Amino acid sequence: MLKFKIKGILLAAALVLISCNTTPTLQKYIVDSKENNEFMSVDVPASIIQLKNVDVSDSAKNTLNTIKKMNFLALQLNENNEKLYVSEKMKVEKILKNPKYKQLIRFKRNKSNVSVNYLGDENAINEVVVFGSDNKKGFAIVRILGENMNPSDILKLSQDIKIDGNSNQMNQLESLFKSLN
Amino acid sequence: MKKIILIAVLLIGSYTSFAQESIFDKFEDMDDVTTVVVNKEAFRMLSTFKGDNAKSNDYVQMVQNLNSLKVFTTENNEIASQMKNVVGSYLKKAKLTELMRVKDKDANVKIYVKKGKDDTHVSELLMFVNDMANKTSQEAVILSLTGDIDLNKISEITDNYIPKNDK
Repeated sequence: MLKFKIKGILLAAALVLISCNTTPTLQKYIVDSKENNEFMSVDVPASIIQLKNVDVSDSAKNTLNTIKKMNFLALQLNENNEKLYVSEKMKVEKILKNPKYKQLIRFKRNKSNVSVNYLGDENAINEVVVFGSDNKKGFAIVRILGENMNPSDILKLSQDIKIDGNSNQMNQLESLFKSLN
Repeated sequence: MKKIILIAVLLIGSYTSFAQESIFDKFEDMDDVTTVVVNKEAFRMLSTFKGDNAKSNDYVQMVQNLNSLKVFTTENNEIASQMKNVVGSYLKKAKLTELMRVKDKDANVKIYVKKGKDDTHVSELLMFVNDMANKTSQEAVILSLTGDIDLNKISEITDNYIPKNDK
């Protein structure tokens, strides 16, 4: 029992350390950028993801509870903000270069780039960051926050969930994507 | 003493991160090159998606031993010939052996391997394709897969991970 407690405390301490060291940088970046009118941003709580049936297993509910929220942040390129785009893109790239972000995949075609990164362990992910940029259109960050998200459990869960399409946040998100095109 | 350990750790750290980079990485920065990079973390994550049957377990086993997959594609003549040169010099330096070679009127495909722990395992698989059909716009593809690769299962990987060309 004591052993378990110590482990728990260590784990908590480790989590605090991890979140103190790295999360604030991207967190801070997103918070700061939201104040800038050049950026578009939407925060989506995990509550828009809903279970299709109430009577799913507890483990599925627990899995769902590991997902906390999502941030979207986008900078659309126009005639006047190219300098901003270049400098901001470099900032994000620098944040993601931190070895604590483990990069899964990156893809590049002509002038557009997409990378998928995460924080945590492969079985217990705390943050997923998708960063896409296109030197003609702008860039976007999609950030999914959670606590010990397990990708294989989430994959299993994906059959049992639906997205609440009528929520405010969902509408905001839709209009964001529309304006991006 | 502490300083020495720190330096050693830093050195090892920089070495391992260096080891992930390859001679082909410079192509990633070129505008006319399409790049796909799949890192070790992705393979490890994929391997946590456990399947139910024996076949998918096999698959998981293979995937979790992979280190990286890099694919560089270009349709630019100049870069295509650069790629050919880089592959050529890499082959001499890295002591890869040719596994197979296919040449027809459309393309020239060469597959090289670096010997791994035994006869059926290789530590690196390199595929180089260049387009023969169209002399005016040459295409070239470099595919580099590293890790502990079971040759018997390569066909499975190639079926699943190489993005299909829609053209």
